Amino acid sequence: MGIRGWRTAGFAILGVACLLVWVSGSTAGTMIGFSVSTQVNPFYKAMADGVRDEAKALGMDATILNAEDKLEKQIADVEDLIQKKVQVIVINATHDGAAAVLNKAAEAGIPVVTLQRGVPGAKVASHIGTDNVVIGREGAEWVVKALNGKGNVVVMEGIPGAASSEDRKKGSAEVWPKHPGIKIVAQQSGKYDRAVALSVMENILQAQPQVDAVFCFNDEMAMGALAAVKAAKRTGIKITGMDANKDARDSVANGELAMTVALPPYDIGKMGATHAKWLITKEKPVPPRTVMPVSFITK
Amino acid sequence: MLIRLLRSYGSLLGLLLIGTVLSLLSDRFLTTSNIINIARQVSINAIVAAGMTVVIITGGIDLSVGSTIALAGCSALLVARGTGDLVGMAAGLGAGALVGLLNGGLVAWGRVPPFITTLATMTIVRGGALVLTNGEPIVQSTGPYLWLGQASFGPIPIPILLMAAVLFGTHWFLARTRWGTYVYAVGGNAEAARLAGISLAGIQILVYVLAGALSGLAGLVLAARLSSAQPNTGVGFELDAIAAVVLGGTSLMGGEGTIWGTMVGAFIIGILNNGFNLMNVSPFYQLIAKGAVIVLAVLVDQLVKAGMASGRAGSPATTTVGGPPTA
Repeated sequence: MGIRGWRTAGFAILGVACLLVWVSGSTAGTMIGFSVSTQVNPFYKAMADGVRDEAKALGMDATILNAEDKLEKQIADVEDLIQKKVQVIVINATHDGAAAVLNKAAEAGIPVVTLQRGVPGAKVASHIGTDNVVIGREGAEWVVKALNGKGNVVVMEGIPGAASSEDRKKGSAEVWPKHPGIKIVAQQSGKYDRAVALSVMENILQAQPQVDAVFCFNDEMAMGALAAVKAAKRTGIKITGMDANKDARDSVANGELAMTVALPPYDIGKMGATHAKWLITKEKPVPPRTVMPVSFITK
Repeated sequence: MLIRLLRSYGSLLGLLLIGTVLSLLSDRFLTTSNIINIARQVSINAIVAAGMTVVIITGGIDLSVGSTIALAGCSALLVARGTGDLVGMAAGLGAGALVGLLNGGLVAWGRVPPFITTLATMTIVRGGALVLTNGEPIVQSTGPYLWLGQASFGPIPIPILLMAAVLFGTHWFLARTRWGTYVYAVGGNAEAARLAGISLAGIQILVYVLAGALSGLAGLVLAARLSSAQPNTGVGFELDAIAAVVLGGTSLMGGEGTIWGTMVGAFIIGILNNGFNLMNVSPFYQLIAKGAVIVLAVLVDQLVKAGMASGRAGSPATTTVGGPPTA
């Protein structure tokens, strides 16, 4: 419990890391640190794997510290990395509150690379991640194409006001008006929750005799909408999700969901290690902002 | 006379009023298929809210019901994998009852206030569901358990029949049994009830176990409806259940309340959500409208109570005012 405990644990990990460096003896040259928000979620596990693998491939030693979704642990972790004098700090932040400690790193002459979550107010050399506005736009374009530009679409938003949901809404809202054949018959919030989306979709089906596609801002809601459509015995409705969770991918393979958007956490991690390398060797200029492409998983 | 009538049927009048407005605004509202749809959606909240009513009548509260829904669904499907659906269902109900036993034990024997107890078990139980499932949904798209959520008896879906059975059963328990009378007595004046020889601990444990088991049942119905169990489902469900109880005229101070009121409260929330979706109201405005209806209903309830009190004692200032829910 408490920061003390975590700090002791942090020092213990640090100790082991130093020992490993000493034992291997070869990687003392280039050393980077990666502070990751959590390792419970497979998304961030893949991101850490990407950093680790690419750092190794580029001949660097990467110290990876897990903040366990706690800002105070992450701040302590980054302070430890500064003390360790790593050459670049790569961070997938838990919270905007990490800005102060990241500026401390920059003051100490350590460039910072943020992954997936931007940190406003922090002096950052490079940000790498997907852009939810782009995801919303490209997902909506996929739906328009799948309907050949004509049909009734239901949009299922996430938690009202959540940045990811509002950005995906913004991106998709750019697309619909360009296609006069597409009619948005309902745009409602399923709160990113399967059970909520089930009820919301049931209600929409009561009001809408003709629905051709359901565009959901995450997979959980797509699975809920699918349950509602199945229970109502309606057919020919293309339901799409985002995130490429395991059961959504299975459902796409079964031909139930039409599509889910896959984000590339592993590639984001790899790109983070690459930019860290460039920042050290100065072999290439590092772009301040890199938007990683997403892919569409279909049958 | 009018005030007494309003007191007894105020929430029902509210339901009819909202229903009338919605049927004027949307021609899809008052159809048989939509009414069945609403009742099926309401069933999960109503089952949870029935248990919540009994707890609140004792002067308690149960914030852990949403997490219990998740835990029950997940443990049911996990156990069902190895031993079949029937044992799985029993495990789900058992998990709910166990959470209730933990809540009741802490409140009755540990003397931890119900709000603190169930706030703590809310996160403990959520954590338990995440640990059990490693954070992943458990999908099971075949098996007899689906009957609970997806089958119908004639035109009536099973969740509606389960809701009716739970509401009748809880009403019978409160209104027709000795234990029910004790529940009101404990909520009305715990010390007097204790002096009258009622086992305070026994009643408290009983009501939390009942609430836990009913949340477990709701978790099974939800899992059956979705053909899967999610460890992160049911977040915020406690607020909908508390809102239904309060809309139904049950006092958060304990000692009074009815199951029928709660049922009406659950239907008010259900038709609001349904109406918003039918009319495609912006999600931002939905949040405002939902909160406003709850405050308005409780406000009217307080005014009516104040009216009754002044009718009796001529002094509305002495009326006890129960707080509206934090939803």
